[in-house]
Amino acid sequence: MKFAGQISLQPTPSDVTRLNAWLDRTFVESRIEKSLAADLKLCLNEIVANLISYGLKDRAGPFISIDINLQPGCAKATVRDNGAYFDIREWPLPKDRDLMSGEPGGFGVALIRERASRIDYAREGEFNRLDIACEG
Amino acid sequence: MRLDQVGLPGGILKVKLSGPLDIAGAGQVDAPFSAISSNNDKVIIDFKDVTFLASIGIRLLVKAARNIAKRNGRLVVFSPTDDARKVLRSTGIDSIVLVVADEAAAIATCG
Repeated sequence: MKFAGQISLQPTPSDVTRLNAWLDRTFVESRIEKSLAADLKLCLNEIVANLISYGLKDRAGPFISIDINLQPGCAKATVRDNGAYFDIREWPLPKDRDLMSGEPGGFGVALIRERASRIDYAREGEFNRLDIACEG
Repeated sequence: MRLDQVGLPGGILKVKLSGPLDIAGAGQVDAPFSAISSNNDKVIIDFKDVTFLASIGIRLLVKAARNIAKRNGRLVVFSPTDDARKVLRSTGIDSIVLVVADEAAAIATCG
């Protein structure tokens, strides 16, 4: 079964809760494979968490819009926001890190790059556009 | 997200987390979890009812593990779902936080 939908969010933890409830309902209705649903949900959580903590922090009039497109074997999402420029593909991943010292960050970007089969990014005027696809 | 705790014999504290450990859930348990890791040397965490785990939850565990390790203590996670286990493994956190199958194994590891 194919499914397409859209949700708009504010960069707040409570709206992440709303996003996750919407995703859970959508995944059930679309009957998408559980592994793809889990991968897409994790990626979207990490993307929005980054926007809350960094990209849209202290931004007046923040904007986040997520479109998802689900079909057997493929779960896709497009995230648009008016935050700071951020191309996730260019972000260096920590190498050989010692988890007992240093700043315990970078996990989210690493998880997105691990779970998404494809990532595309474009800066469109004042907006970031991030396309991700999780494929089975 | 809900956090319940109970003391066990041998100075072990069992912490049960229930609900999604996303940015909202992590915010709800950050302060009590930090206090627990500052005041207890042997902590086992029941992950059975953690319905979703994001990287913010990993940060929480890393901070707690560091806190406890300063006193040569031990932090053990048990009974994670398959999805949570996958996140624990792929972030490499299982190198500093032991992840075991069940409560008995967690107690044995801590004892």
